Amino acid sequence: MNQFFEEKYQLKDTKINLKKKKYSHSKNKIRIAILGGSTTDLIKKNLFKYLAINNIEGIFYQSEYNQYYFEGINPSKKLKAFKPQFIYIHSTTENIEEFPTVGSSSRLVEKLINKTFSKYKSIWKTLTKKFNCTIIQNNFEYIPFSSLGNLDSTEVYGKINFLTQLNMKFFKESNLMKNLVINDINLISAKFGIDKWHDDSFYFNYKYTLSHEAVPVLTHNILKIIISIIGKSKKCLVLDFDNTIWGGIVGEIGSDRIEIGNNSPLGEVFLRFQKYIHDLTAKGIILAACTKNDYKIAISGLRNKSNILKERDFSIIKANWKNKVENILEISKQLNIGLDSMVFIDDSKFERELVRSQLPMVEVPNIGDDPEKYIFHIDRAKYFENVSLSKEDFARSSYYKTNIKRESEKIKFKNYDNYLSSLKMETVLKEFKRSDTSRITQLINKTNQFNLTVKRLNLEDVIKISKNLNFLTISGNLIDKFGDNGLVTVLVGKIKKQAIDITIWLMSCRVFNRNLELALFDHLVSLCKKKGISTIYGYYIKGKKNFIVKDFYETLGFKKVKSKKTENKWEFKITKKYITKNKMIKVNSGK
Amino acid sequence: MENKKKEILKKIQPIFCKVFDNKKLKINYNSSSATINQWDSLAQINLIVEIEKLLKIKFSVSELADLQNVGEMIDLIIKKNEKL
Repeated sequence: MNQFFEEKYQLKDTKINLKKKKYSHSKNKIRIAILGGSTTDLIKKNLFKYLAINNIEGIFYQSEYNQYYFEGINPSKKLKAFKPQFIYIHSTTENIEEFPTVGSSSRLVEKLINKTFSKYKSIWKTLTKKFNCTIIQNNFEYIPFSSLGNLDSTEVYGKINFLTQLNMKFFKESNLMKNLVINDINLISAKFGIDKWHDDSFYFNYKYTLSHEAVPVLTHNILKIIISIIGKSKKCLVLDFDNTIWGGIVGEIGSDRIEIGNNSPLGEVFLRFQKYIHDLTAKGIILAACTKNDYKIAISGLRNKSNILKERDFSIIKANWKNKVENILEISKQLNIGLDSMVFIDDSKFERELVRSQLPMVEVPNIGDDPEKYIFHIDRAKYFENVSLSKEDFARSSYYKTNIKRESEKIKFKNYDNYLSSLKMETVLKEFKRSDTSRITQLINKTNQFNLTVKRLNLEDVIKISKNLNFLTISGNLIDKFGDNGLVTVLVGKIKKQAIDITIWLMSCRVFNRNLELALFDHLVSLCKKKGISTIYGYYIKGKKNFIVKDFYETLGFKKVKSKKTENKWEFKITKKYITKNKMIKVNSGK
Repeated sequence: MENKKKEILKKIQPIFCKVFDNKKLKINYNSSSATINQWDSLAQINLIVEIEKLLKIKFSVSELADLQNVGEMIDLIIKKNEKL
């Protein structure tokens, strides 16, 4: 695994059927001339592959070996006929003809810098005049050996010092010349490790100035520059809230107790992540939120003062219980941003896989399980690469914020069921077991949202109920292809002859919208049938955060029999014709 | 010794098929850039990189410079393995 870029560029097989595939007649063709100061075949090959992954067909021209300078100041007929849209100049520190000698005066060194620099400048000028295309120019990587030690950096005649000054001149020039983009190989080689970046066998035998392993890293960087120039960089970041931009679930623990801020290590981790995102918005990346939450609760989390990200930073906030695919489609529509411009960040594998499978154009990085690694996974993919920033970029996110058209049109989502069935979900539904009682107690006391009565019980109560034959108890877990979610749902019913009162029914918000509540209800009905119970009474008692289940019994087919301000009573008659509701989850008996 | 040579030839055979994109290609000790048409410098690099990865070895500058054919390549691999 190469940690320097996202997984899709790590395909092992280098021949991804490029010839056979549709790329040959895709509209996106770009013509790239590579002028090399060393061997460039592998770079070309790799770049071709990476472009193909992005549905772009690369057409290449390569200069003769080490002819970058001559071809640069005196383009061959072939190059002229090729009509490049991009010219990549792959020169490296190996191409520097003359370094200062030890003890050289600063004047002499400056002369030498100017001499080297003007050589490149004349290339850029000629190419711009002849082709008026984008020039991607490497700067200079640091050397693996330094005979002068630290002095190589600190002294004006030192090699590192010399390279640094040259790189500064390159940067300055790229600010002046619109079509000149610097490929910062000094930075990427440092990240990669300068010693690993160089490979002696590779250099002395084949004249590659970087190792075989470093070629993809270099190519990935060039790719992102090209993608940025052709306007395919990502523009919008869609963020989940709970456990993504802060720690904990705000609907459960409350806005004052989420992990954000300097009070805990994890709070600091999320703070740093928010800072990173805030910096992205500063360069014009549009922020959208997509979180399964009541709107009010989500906003209460965002209003926690420790957040760096504020409500005003988001162009749109989708906080509801709808499927995230639906929400992302709406975000795309309302902001008028293509799905292929979006990156979706969520800590839940379930949501990521859902979006990835239904909306393949949206980038969904696998950000892993550790919040401190979130930045790493987003940053390395260089989704938001810019070659320069205009005033429009800086203003972009505010433009979107003011321009949302509130479209009420609903986007129907057909494939959610397909997705659910692909998860191969299973549950074990069983009565309370002694070994589960502490987890059951924890759920009863912690669950606030999908909790119909918000009744709390202590451990002793739970044990008592589990032994009392007048009570019917069910607990359930949920397993899917991502793993076991553990015990996530609990139901307690009090039996009164031929009727039963559901006094407790709750479910962890991790497994909302997975049909587990249906499986549980089917199970309850079958238990009731066995016990000769014909009527089920359900109660909704209003709590602070359980608004979401206010009409839950209605969706199951209950009838309201009593209605008060803070409490509703619902009734369900069990008939022989009862049709099971769950079709997604395989139910196993808990024997 | 001869057995070892055969064993390594068998091991690296698939690499040649892959690099030259030819499933039917059969190599022997005398195979070289003279006998295989597409064996250019790029193919050479791909072969070396794949063999290095497969056998977890790293060829030095001088070792690579002297190679004439597949037989020599295998001798070199055996020599390097003995050193380990």
